Amino acid sequence: MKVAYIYLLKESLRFKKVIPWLLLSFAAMILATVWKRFDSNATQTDSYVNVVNILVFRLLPLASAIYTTMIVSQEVEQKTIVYLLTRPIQRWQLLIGRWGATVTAVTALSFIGIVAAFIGSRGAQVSIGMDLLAVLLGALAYGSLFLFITLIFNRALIICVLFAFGWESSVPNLPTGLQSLSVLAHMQAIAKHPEAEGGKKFLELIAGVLGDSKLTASSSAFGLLIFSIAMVGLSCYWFTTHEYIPREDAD
Amino acid sequence: MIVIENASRWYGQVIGVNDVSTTIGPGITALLGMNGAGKSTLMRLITGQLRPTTGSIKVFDMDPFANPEVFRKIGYCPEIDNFYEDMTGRDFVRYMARLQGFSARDASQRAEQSIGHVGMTERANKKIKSYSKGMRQRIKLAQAMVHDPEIILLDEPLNGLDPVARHEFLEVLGEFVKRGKTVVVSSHILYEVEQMTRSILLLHRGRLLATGDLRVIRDLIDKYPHKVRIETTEPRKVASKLTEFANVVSTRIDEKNQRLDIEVRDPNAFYDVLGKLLINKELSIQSFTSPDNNLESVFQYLVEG
Amino acid sequence: MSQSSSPIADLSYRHYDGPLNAPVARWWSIAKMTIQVAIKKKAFWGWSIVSSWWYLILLAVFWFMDNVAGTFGAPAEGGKNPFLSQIIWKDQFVHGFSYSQMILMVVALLVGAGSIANDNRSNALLVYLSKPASRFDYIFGKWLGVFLLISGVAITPMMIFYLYGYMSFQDYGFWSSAPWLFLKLILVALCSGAVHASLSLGISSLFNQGRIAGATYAGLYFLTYIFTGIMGGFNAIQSFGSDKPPTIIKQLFYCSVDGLQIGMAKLIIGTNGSPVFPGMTPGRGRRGGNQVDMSEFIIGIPHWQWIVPVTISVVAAGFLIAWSRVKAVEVVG
Repeated sequence: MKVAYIYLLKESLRFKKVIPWLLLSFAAMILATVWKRFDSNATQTDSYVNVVNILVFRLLPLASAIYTTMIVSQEVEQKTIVYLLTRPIQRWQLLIGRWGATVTAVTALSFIGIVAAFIGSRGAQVSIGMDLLAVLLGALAYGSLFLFITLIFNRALIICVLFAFGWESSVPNLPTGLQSLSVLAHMQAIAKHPEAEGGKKFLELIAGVLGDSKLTASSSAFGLLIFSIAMVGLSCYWFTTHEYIPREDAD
Repeated sequence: MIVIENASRWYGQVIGVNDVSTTIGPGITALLGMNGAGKSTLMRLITGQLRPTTGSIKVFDMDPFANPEVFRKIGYCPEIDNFYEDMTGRDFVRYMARLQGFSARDASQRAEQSIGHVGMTERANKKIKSYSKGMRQRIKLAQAMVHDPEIILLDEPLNGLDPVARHEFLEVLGEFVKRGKTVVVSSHILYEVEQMTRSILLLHRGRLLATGDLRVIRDLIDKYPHKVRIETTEPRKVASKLTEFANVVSTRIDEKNQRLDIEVRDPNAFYDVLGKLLINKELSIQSFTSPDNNLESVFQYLVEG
Repeated sequence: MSQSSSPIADLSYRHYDGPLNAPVARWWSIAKMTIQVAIKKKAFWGWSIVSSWWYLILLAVFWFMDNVAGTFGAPAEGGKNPFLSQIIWKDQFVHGFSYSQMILMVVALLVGAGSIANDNRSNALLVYLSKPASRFDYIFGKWLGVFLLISGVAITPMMIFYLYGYMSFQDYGFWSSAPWLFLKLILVALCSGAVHASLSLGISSLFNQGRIAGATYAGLYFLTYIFTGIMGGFNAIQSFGSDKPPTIIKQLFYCSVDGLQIGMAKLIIGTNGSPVFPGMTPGRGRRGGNQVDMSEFIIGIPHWQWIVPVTISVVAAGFLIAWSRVKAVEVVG
C-alpha cells in the first residue's frame, strides 16, 4: 500500500502536473488582492471568503476528478493496469494506497490556494483552519465518490466534471433539505463563512451558498467522513471482485 | 503447477476460450495458435486478470484471480507494448520489484540483476519512450523476471526482436528452465516455437486442438499429402515429368496455364528429386512454394482432416 | 488495356482505361470518418438530446400558456395572451443557447478532445500521414468533422423551436420581430461549432491521451466559466450598489469559452438579452431603495470590435496549435 501511495504521489506532484494549480493559486492571490476594486464595500474578510468560495472550493472537485482518474482509469486506458494487477498486493490495498496519494495531492494543492487567498486578502478575519479542514474533508469525499465512478463507468471524467459543475452548482443553492446531498454544501457548513448581502447573492449563487442551509459544521464533517469511508469501502469491494483489463482508448 | 479444467471464457457473445482442459508443468510450453485463437485470454486467465466463465484454473492449487499468493510466484510479460513512458527502464523495473514487496535496497539490486540478464544495463537510464521495440521487449521481460518467479508467462515475447536479440532471449529462457522453472510462451509462428520447445498446446478458435510434442504434430501433417505450387510457363511438361514419381498424388494446372499445384506423399523425397531435375535442366520453372508451411495448414489438417 | 486483334471483340470484361483522377478532397474522407465514429457512440446521441433541455422546457411552457393558461384571466389588448405578448422571441434562442453551453462542451469532449490525442496514442496518426494526405487534409478533416457535429447539435433544437414558434406565434410577432432570425441562428450554431472544434482539436493535439486532453479542455472551460461568473457577480453587486457597473466588467463577462459564444450569439442575433420570463426583476437596490435598473443589471451585447477578432483568433489559434503539433514522423529520441 505504501509503495502504491508513494509512487502515485510522486507522479501526482510532478512539476508539470502541478504547475496549472500553482498558477491558479497565484490567480487566487491576485483576485483576493484586487477584489476591493470591483466591490468597494467589501472588507478583507469578504475578499478572502469570496475567493475561497468561488475559486478554491469550486475548483476542488475539478482537481479531484482529474487526479482521481489517475488511480485506475488512466492505467486501464494506457494499458499499464496489467503490471499493477499481477503483483502480489491485495487489490484493495493498491486502491487505497493510490486513492490516498491523489487525496493528498489534491488537499496539498488546495491548501496552497487557501493560503494564497489569505495572503492576497491581507488581513482577513477568518479561521483558516476550518477552511483547511473543509478542503481536506471535501477532497476525501470528492475523491471517494469519483473513485467509485471511475471504477464503474468508462467515460468517468465527463460524469465527474458534470457532477462538479452541474450538480454542485445547483443543489447547494436549493432552498430545501436536498443540500445535504451536495459535498460543497457540507464544505460551506464546515467553513462557516459569514453571509453576504444585497447583490452579493449572485456571488453566493456561484459559490453554492445561496440556499438557506441548516447544516452544522460537526454534522457535515461527520457526514463527509462517513460518506468517504463508505464510498472507499464500496470501491474496494468493486475493484476486488471485478475484472480490469487494458481497454482501447477510443474516446 | 497450472491445472486447467474445462475452462471457458465468454466475452458477451464471443467465446475466447472454449472448454480447455490441460496441465502445464516445468520446462517450456508453447501456446501456439493464430491471432484470435485465445492465447492471450488463456494467459490472462492463468495470470488471474480474468475469471473463467465456466470451469476452473488452478495455479499452485490456488485460484489465481486477484490472488497475491499466486502473483508472488508468477512473472508475466504481456503482449501489449505499453509502459509508463516517462519512467526510465531502471525505474520501471525497480517499481515493479517494489510492488513485489521487496525493500527499496533489494528492489534496486534485483532490478539491476534482471536488467543485466536482458542486456539492458547500459540503456536502463533512458526513458522508456525513447526505446526501440526490441528494447521495450527486453525491459518487459526484465520486469517479469525481477522477483525470480516459479512460472513465467510470456505473451508473444519475440515480437519486434531482431535475430541476435532472439538468440539472446532464447538463451535467457534456457537458463531459466535449467533452474527447474516453468515457462509458458505464446506465439503464432510455428518456426519460432520450434526454436524454443517441442511441448505445445495448439489453440484454434478458443479450443485446445492438440497437446504434446511438436514432432507428433509434424508427423500428423506428414500423414496428409503435402501441397507444392510451381510457377512455370510449361505446366503440362512439368506435370508429366513429375508424375513419373510414385509419391506424387495429384496434379492440377490453373486456367491461365501458368501454375501447377501438386500433392505429394513424402515431401523430403520430392524436394530431392525436384532439385536434381532443376540442376540437370530437365525442368523449366520460375518458382515453387508450399502453402503448407504455415500454421493455418496445420489447423486445416487437424480440424478438417 | 491493349486492343484485341481478334475480329470478335470480347465485351465481357474490361478494365477502366480512362485517366486516374487523384481524389482532391481527402479532408472530406477524414471528416466523414470523424463523424461516423462519433455518431456510433450512444453517449453522443444522449448528450445531444440533453443539450436541448431548455428548448424542451420552453416548448412545454409556451404550449401550456398558449393552450391551457391562456383560457384563464383577462386577455390582453386585442384578445391576445398577456404572457405571450410580452415574450421577446429572439431572446428565447439566446437563453436556450446559453443553457446548452455546458452540454455542448461535453459533446465537444466526446467527439473532439480525443480525436487527435487518440490517433497519437494508437499511432493512427502515422497511418493517416503515410497516405497521400497532407497535414492540412488531416487537421482540416478532423476540424470539419467536429465542427459539423457540434454545429448540428447546436442548431437542431433551435430549428425545432423555431418551427414551433413560426407555426404557432405569428400573431405575437415571432416572424415580424426578427425576419432574419433563421439565418442568424444558423450563424450562431456555426460559430459555436467553430470555437469548440478549434479549441478541442488544439488541446487534443497537445496530448497522447484523450482523457488528459478532455480534462484540460474541461479545465479551461470551467475556469473561464468561473471567471465569467465572477464578472456577472461584480456586475450584480454594482447594479445593487451606489455605483453604476463599469463597462469593463460587462465586457470581461464574455472572456470565457462560454461567454465568447454567448456574446457572439447576442451580437449576431442583435439583442441585449432579457429576463428568462416576463415579470422577472432583479429587486430593489441601495440607491434610495429603488428598483434596480434592468439595463444596468443585464449584460448586453459586447463590443464587436473586440469579440469578433478574439473569436476568430481563438478559432485560428486552435487550428494553428494542431498544425504545429501534428507531425508526419515519429521522432525516437
